Amino acid sequence: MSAENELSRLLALVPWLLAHRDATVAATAEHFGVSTSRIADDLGLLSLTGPGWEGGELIDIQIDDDGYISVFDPQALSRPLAFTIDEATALIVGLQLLEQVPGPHDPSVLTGLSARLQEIAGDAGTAGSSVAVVSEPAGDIEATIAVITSALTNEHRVSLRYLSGTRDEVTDRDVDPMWMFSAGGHTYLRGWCHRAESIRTFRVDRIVSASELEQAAEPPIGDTPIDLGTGLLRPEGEPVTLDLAPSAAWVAEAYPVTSLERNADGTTRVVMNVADREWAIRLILGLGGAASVVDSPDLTEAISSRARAALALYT
Amino acid sequence: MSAQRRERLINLVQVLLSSQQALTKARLRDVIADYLNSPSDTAFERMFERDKETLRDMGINVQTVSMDAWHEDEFGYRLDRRRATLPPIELSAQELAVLNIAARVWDQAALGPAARTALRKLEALGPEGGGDPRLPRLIEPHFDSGDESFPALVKAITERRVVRFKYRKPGQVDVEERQIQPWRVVIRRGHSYVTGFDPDRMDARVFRLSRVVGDVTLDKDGDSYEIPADVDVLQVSSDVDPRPVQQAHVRVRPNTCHRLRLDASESPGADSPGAEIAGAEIAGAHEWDALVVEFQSPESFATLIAGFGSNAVVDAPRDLRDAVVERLRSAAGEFA
Repeated sequence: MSAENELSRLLALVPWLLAHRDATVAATAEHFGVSTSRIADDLGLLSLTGPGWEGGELIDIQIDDDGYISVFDPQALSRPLAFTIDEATALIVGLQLLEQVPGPHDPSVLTGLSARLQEIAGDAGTAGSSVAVVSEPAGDIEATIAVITSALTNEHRVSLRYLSGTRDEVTDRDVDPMWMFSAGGHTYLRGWCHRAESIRTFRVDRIVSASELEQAAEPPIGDTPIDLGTGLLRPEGEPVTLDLAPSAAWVAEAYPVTSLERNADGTTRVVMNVADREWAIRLILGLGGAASVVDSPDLTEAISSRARAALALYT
Repeated sequence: MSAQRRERLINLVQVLLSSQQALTKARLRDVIADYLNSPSDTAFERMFERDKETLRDMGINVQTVSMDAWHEDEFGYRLDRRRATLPPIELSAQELAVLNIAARVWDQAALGPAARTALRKLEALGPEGGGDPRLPRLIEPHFDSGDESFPALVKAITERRVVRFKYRKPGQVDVEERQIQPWRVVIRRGHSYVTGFDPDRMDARVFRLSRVVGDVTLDKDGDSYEIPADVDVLQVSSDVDPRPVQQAHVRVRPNTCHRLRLDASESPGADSPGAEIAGAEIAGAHEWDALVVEFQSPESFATLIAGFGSNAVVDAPRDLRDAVVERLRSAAGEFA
């Protein structure tokens, strides 16, 4: 946690405690996401401060035996400080992004809220206009989203026909939906998969068909945080070294690579972690000569023999 | 930051907030212990300047005002209470819940800490309790990582400051030094871009934030350019393929090429693209399923089809067929 965060927590504590007069040290620590001893230290430090004007008034903070906190003399810190540019941007752009997602919420609530936030943000609120969110129609996945939304509302199980992300394979799965999110331009469903008997992430555009079942969904309570960066691309696996021609350079950006070097001939040498061999074969075969495998003769042979078999169909 | 320094800064904020008038440095030195105890004037000045800067980085702008019409070098310092604190706002529990989701957008992104402190400030104004932070039936947007430059660019645009950064084009190893007058940060399909005017190239340019390497530096001077009123964010950030949509006729082996089936507008003997899978046991009954699939980019569509090897054959159009054959030839030739 940065030094500025420490300071901004200190400045936020007093107004928050004034608004939550039944707060305990434990509840405050939980709310601010720090340890109880940190909150105790913060309160100790705050009670040493004050405007120091005419005779050194100090903030008076007391903690009773049950851990309840009372602030008697908030001095000049009774109100939260104005939003910083970053804070105003985070909330205003966050609301703009929420407006874009399909769902049963009333978009005018969001627009109204956004306008009121900009008003109280003052100068920092203009930062919202530095950011533009381009809306995209949900398109093909709209019908699937409607089925899942309805199942979430009714707390029903869904039956999904799902296309694997790596294998050329479609499977039928019963899923108890938990929640939906979007990241990196895709919409995902998190839910308990009865086939895998664990929580799984499904990309909505790979759901071939979805239907809501009569059965009640019984998903586990709570979800583990997901790593949106590399977590969705499953970088674990066997390292494969590829030389990419400029026309295949997009591969280095679309998938996680562990190393990137320039070859003398203008191609780029990358190392990718390949979790699924079939997936790698399809990718490299499809790229034709624009990608070549450097360090795996049997992968190279598998690709060329498949290419020959396919060419036979075109003669 | 030491506890002593935190204490000093909290005191400084309270001293400035509780005074109606601007305070001179001498007055501040009288009431803040660290300033009073600093060994020399220079040490005090340095300490005070550093404190002001830390506060400014947190959005707390200590204003400098002239104290005396006759002595222009006599400055005072103040925090305008109205501008420095958050005005009241009534928020329902539901609105706070929505704001919680809006803040969660940044959970794994650069503005995550700012989103959390903003919420705490609002919670100090709003009703008790934050409501259910996860409203059901709503798709939660999340920002992917790789946007570390986002806050700096928003700040630069707000203050009209020229930015410099290192930029790596996709798949390239070397980075370029670029500078722009940033106009707008554009979020599209889950990715962020910055648009702006590139004075070296005398033209508008767009950069994807995930390709920016390292920190963005802001020029010292603000208000150094104007943002045109008619920035077309759609056009400058557009990576939409302008080519027309075409139809491909592709034959695929039963129970394979599911990705193509998912996109197919027509597939035989079934009203849903996956339906023939149910009849996989009788797959021997026919060798191919004929699909009609729409595509826009012949290059990427040929790449997809060639990847399926002998499980897919393009019958039409001709140039798509040729593109697939060309890929297969080089894959076979290169590895032969």
